[in-house]
Amino acid sequence: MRKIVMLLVISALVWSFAIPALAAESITFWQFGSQTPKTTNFAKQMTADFKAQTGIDVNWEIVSWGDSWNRLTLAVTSGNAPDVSMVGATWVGYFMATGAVLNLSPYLDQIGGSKKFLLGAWESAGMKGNIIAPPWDADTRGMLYRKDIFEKLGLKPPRTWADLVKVAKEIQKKTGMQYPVAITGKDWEVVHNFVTFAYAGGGRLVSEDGKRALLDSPEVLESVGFWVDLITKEKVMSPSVMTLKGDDIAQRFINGDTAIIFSPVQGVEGQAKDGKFAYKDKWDMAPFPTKSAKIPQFSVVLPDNVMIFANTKHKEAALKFVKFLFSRDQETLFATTYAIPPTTFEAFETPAFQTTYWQDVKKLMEIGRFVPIMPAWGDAETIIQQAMTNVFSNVADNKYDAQVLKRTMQSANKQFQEAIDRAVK
Amino acid sequence: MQKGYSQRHLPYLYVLPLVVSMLLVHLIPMLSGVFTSFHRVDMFTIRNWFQAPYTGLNNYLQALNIFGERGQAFLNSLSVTLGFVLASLAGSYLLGLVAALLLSKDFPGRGLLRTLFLIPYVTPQVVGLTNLEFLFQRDYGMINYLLLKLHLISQPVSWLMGQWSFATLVIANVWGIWPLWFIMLLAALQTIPQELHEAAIVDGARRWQRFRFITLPGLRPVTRILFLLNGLWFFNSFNQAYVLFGKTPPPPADLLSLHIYNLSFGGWNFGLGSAMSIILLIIMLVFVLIYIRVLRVGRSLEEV
Repeated sequence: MRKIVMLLVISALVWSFAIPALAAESITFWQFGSQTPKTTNFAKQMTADFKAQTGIDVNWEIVSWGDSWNRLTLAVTSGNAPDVSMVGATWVGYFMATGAVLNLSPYLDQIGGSKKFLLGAWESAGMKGNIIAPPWDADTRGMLYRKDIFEKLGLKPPRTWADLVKVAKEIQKKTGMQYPVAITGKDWEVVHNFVTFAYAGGGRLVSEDGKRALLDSPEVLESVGFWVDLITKEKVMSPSVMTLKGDDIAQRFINGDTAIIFSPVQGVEGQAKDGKFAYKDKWDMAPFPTKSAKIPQFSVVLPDNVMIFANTKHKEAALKFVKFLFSRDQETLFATTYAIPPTTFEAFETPAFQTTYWQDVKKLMEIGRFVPIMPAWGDAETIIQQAMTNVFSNVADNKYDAQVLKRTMQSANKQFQEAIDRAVK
Repeated sequence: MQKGYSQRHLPYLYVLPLVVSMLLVHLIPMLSGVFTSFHRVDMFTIRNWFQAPYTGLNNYLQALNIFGERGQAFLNSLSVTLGFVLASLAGSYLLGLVAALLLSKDFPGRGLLRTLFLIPYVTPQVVGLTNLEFLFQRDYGMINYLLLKLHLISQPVSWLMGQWSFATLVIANVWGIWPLWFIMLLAALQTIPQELHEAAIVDGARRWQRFRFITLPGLRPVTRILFLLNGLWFFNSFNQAYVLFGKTPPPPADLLSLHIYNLSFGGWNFGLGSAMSIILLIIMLVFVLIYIRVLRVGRSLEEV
């Protein structure tokens, strides 16, 4: 009796080692997001579809955005990485510099080619001709305004900064709304708004060759100055925007507490899903106003991308998986599940995206601009965020002036330059 | 009585696994921190951080150079943290002591009040702080609304940005921790023998004198432990600032641990971040040594 039990135990042990070896090929994928039923269902369906098409298993892991940066960099440091991972577009330059990520340039045809992507989103896929991370979705930021209020007052969406102030004051006067403009100054979105203002003022954040930091250039100083003036001088924006998150501001926009916001378009569309806040009825989108009519208008497109880690043991499977993610049906499913703009022409041609809203988003995406793709951008985000917090802190204390702004941006620029130099070394 | 060899050494054997695992989880990361602080470990060298270039005292000089950008920010952060620790200690001590004294006497509803007082302490920290963040909002926050209604202020205060952010930070911290002080001090109050008070009354001592010469000395051992432990906790506070202000707090609320975190995990400057951590560690060690020596924490009341 005892012998039989022993035999059973031993054979069970042997099998438990043998089974994984016999099982189908399997790859690991990290998607960033929260553990909601929506995401787990999406993951389940994608995994099943991919298994049906290729016979490859996907270990689909959902990682919260809050952990994503640390998890990815830990993966880079420890070499213990997933095969494929989602990545924020602004980090692409950094991961490229680490050399931990597969250069996809030679495999472009294998994953479906670059022509299928909208240019505004594709810009984020890599730098200097090397492609590492095709865009999966495209967070598209523009100026959103209350169409109902604008129509009632006979106003047009502002084309220039001067228009913006004029329109805002008009709304103040005619509707009694205290603060018609709201642009968040908190969390990572402050970086996006910083980029928006810098571009709108005709400025650059780094020189053409990516070697010189330009955060204290006259154009950038003037742009940030104008941004702060909306609070201090023009008084069309509440000081509370300095501590309000983008979502809170979108909510105020929907509630009718403010009429013009700079925001991701899908944010407002997502928060107003109950039909009471219909697009083209209550609100509309437009490109950002610029300093003067000479500077072309634009939107800011910040995709989330997908990259393959270089030390993957399943390169072929990983490439197949990436191709699968960007195929028409899967890209469409992804974009519709999250109501986020897709990145490929094919997806925009599917019936789901034939609404006015989505076609307007596509138009906005076509004039999309992106942050500089460079290894030091990760540093730049923290530096800019800290610099703007310092500026706002002075605003709150009534100590803000042009000198404070200049000093803060000079200090930020110095740190950014250090980061760039470290990257070159 | 003569003890055998094994019996004398057995206790050491018992604690050996603990000592080894403590060393593993504490000492090794600490040593790697020391290593990192002498090297240029950033996002480009971290993949192979053992081979990161040696930079000598460079990181330390950068942190301590008060004329440089980084040094100045570090100095600001250090003074903010010291102020935060002192203000929080004072706040929680006063609140805790007053509440403990009020509730040490028996009266109807005492149990209910005691439970109510403990609510902030049992609320998950992030939940409490997130709610406080809403309350402290400038335009729509409850606190400004009430203060404006009561005509205590004429303009809404920017609690979360600018100089007021320091006060907000201290209030949030004290709000979350004072019930611990309250309950500890209350427990200590109840260990003071009633006979002492009775004897003092017979001797004609006034209320204040009894408080000064009986209650306070009776509370001393607990108070010392509270000051020491909470002082160290406060020094390492992170969540409060992170939840209230986000990744980049305004300079008046730039706590050291968040500052170092930002350098290390935002700016990817692990070398400098480690150097600052080591400096922080040394400051805290000095602080603790002085504290333990001067106040003789850990000795019994009779020895004091």
